Amino acid sequence: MPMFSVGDRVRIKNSHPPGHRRTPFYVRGKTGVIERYCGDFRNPEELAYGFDGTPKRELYRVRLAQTDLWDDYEGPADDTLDLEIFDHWLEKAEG
Amino acid sequence: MNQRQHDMGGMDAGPIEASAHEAEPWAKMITSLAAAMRDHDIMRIDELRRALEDLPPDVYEQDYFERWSEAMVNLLEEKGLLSRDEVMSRMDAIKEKVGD
Repeated sequence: MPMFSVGDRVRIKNSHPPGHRRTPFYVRGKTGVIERYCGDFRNPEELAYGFDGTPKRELYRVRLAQTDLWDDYEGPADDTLDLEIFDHWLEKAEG
Repeated sequence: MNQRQHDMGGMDAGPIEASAHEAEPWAKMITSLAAAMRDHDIMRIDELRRALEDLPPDVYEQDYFERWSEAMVNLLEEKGLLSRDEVMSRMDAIKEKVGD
């Protein structure tokens, strides 16, 4: 049973651990909405160091507003960006 | 703030060189070697990414495939399969045989 559902508001953790991390810098600390559940996969942040990547992590496609990402965004106000984020980078957001 | 050298999303990219160019034969060789290392379970794609990200900045700034070859040598060395010295002396031997 996936831990998040489509439509849930989630915050991407504003965390900066060293090492190979799969969450781009520019989305850390931002809030978005779960667009879909993509399945569970071995954790690439562990595979990168020779571990077996278990337990598997849930991967979600998260939709963010471009205007939330870039202060000087000049495109349409309803433009969005989808990107895939593993569950250990996500927490439930209010609202 | 720990934005790492590979994590460039949103940064000013400067002018983009859009012209097409042929891949150098050695670059194709590096791509094949990477595939062979993955096929033989010597290297995972995630390990290659990690090794690329960990390169010193002056190496990371180099050509894309030079970067790959440096990262792959580091991984071979880390896994105890080949040392950098062994790779370099083999390269020297090949250079001697075929000329520059």
